[in-house]
Amino acid sequence: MNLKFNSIIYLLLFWATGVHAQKLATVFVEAESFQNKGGWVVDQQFMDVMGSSFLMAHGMGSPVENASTKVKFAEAGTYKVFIRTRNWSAQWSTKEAAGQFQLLVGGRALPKTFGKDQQAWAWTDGGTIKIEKGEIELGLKDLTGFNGRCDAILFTKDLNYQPIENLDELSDFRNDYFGFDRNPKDAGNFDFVVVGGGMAGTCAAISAARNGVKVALVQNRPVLGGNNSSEVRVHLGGRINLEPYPALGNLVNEIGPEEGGNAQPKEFYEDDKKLRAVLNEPNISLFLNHHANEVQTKNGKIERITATNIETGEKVLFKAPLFADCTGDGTIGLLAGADYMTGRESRAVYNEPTAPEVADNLTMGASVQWFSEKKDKPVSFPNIKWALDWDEEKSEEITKGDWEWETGMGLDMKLDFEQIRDYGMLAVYSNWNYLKNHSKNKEKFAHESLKWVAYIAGKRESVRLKGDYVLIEQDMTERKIYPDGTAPTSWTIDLHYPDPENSKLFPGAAFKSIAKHIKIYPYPIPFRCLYSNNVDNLMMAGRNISVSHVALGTVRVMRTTGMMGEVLGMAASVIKKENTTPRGLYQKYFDQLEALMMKGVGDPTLPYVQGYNNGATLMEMKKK
Amino acid sequence: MRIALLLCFLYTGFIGTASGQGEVAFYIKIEDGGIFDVRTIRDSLGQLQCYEANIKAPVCEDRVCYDVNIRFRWNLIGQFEKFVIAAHDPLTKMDHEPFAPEDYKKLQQILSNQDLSFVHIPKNELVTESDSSEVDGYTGATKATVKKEVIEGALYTCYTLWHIANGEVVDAIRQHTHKSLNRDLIKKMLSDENQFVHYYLINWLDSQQMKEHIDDLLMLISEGKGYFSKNAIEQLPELLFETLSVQNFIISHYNTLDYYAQLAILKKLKLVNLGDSLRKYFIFLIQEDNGFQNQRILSLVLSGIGNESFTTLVNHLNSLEIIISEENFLLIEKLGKRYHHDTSQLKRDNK
Repeated sequence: MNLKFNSIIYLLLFWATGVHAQKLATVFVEAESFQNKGGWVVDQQFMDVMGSSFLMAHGMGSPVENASTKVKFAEAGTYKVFIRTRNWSAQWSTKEAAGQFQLLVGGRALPKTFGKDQQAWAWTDGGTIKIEKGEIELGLKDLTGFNGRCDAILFTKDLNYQPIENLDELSDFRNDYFGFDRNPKDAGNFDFVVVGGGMAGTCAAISAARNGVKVALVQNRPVLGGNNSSEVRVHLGGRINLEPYPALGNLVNEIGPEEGGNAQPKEFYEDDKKLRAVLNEPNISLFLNHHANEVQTKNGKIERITATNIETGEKVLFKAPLFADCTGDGTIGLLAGADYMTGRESRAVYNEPTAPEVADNLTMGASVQWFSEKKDKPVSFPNIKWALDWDEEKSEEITKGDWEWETGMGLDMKLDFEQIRDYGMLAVYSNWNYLKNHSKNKEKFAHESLKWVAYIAGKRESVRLKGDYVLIEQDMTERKIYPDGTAPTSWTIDLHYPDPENSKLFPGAAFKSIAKHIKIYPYPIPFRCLYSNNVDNLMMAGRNISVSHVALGTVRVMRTTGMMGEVLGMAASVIKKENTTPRGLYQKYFDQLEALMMKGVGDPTLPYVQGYNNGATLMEMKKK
Repeated sequence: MRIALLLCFLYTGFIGTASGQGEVAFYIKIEDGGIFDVRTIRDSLGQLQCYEANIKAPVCEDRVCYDVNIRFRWNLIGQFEKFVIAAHDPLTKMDHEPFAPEDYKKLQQILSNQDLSFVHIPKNELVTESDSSEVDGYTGATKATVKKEVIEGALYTCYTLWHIANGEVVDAIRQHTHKSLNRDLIKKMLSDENQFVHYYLINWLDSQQMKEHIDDLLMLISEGKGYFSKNAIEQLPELLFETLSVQNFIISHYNTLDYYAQLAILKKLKLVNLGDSLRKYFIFLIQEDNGFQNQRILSLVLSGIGNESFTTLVNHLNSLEIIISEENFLLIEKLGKRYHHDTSQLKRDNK
């Protein structure tokens, strides 16, 4: 969150607004706005909860390169320094702190080490410093390589200043300081705003654009692809080109990676291919690095949404008659007051054989995948004191963590997500620390070096927005096919549970999972699952569509979510043409959508090269 | 699959005993210039049962080459079923290490799997060049995705055998079975539980054969899984839909078929004359909660409708206050004039 110029002249701004003109000079710097991020990464995953994106030193045990930025001070003098940070490992260990760093002012480090105090996000007192008038360079110096994090830095000449901890007040302060709310940028008018640039959103945008719809695609990361991007590294799954609409999926084939595999090298995920496909569409305006976090509704319809730039903090407005929530988390739906479901429904709700007797809040978890590489020479790894308790029984002698390194089941995938992601990383580091420094077989790992650990965790489930229909287990197992069928789901009903072995070793805090599968015949997802039942102009594709927890088990894989997006784009064109709503399309114009689905929007001439991870289906069954 | 595995360890001594049982039906050339004969195997009644071939193929794993001797069996539609090897001539991996029991098990899975990606990669791209002499048992490193799918140390054995088992021979078998189709063979295949055999039949039987076996085909349609029913209906010749047996089948089964099979039936019926009972059946299928299908059914029952049925229809539409599409409404108006029937109360869709 910051200005595009990155350096902030406090006094000028305050004169301009006239609000705080009497106060003593204060300079506020957002870490994510640093001009040079060095080896630090921008993490926006929890900004709805803790208030901002931030910089994180994700060095996997090696301190990352310094981040730096230039800041102008209009007044010389003694300033009090605060940094908004936290000690993330404190919730599991009181020994040392994982992520520690220093602040450099004009090249000199403040004596205070940050990231080792309070467990929760809060301002840490950094002492006082004398600063000359003019431009000065600030730097963040990582000391540990283990995910130290810095949200913002505040300098004030008011030596009795108490920094604002309340999130709403802090947000107001930031907006006042940078002048964002008073000056939001209008992105323009669109026919269709798609929020979320995973496979579902990307396909929705392309499909709509190719059908003559003017689209804004809003994605809160610098890359497209979501769980299939090089940031998360989950491969596509499920089948395409299935009956009753064999042309659906050509788009997934067109933009998806050729190579399969989870937790593989970056190139496997072909981020550029997806980006190129979007940039090739003149009807799409792409907004990377924008997190949609405000929705304005009127009479049960969304009028506009606002997104915050995750680096500069600038706010951008999007207006359209139609929106799609492809965020995975139902972010837009929740903000618009859409009905939603979360956790596991009890058996009584839909009579699903696989549903539990009693409803609970168990969701599938999020994966923090990782792998190491072999080096020519032995490589050391810090002997960390804040690791989870580990021993031979707990140690896993492996060099790659796949999807089953999954945590957070039973926690809140939005409110607790920083904890969930951090625990996933903590488990990876704890095991690796043991293998490198303590294991009886540590020699075997002497040349191994952690090459990649995900810091964007791969979520499977958060909330599901309620549509005019909720897809359930029996629809697929008993093949109750509805006339408004669209993209076929073919993956097994694949539900994840905490790994019982891992749960024994880590009671109540498993970080590994198992999967249970029920095979199905490819099943066309009803269109009524793809739009909200109470927000009239909101459609959805991806894991946040209208399905029960059990049914989510099959629809959630990314070739399927891509096809849902493809359908949404087509629906957007019918809705535009007939000036109707998604429900209106279902009631009166479904034949037009049917015709578009028969046709498809992807290139049908491309060979199917994505032979990987099609998944088991009853379609293949040879004997009854 | 399990049965096949047991056999492959127990079976001995067939290789070299001329060409095995059965008569030679045709031969297949393999990529490197080799050739193998495919023989037909018959059941106790003398009916075609399956196909077999003894195969000798040179395979090189890294720099070590050897001849694979193996017998393959396919079913009537060319699906790979199992393999048999002689106990004294096992398959081998790198460095002549013989296959372990789990390797045979995996080979069976590989040969009967149509969903593998490594088989679509050109042979010379299966490994990436590497300087180190032995990575994964190969001079070059096996690609990660490939490695997961194959038997370690037997990449080329898997690759070569898969292409033989699932290559040209498949189509040749299908053609041969097609030429051999007679009443009894069709009957036998219809009672097979393998849905792929059913798909073969609906794609390969001619109109006459379909007519002859229509009762069995309708039975399969009523029990069809997945999209079989829809596909089978699409394949049946229109003429059959004029027959009483098919129209009666529709009356008794339409409601239990899935939506796409229903659509396929409506499309077919558009091309034929509806009998009175079937027309009546469809008239009463028009219901308030049947929005998607109503207009399609309505347009179907209107075509060629007589005075009596028309009266029934209009009364039904009126009593349920069914909304009628523009197109159907105009048609009804026209027919109303012809049959001197008042249609002014009907509900027209004003979208």
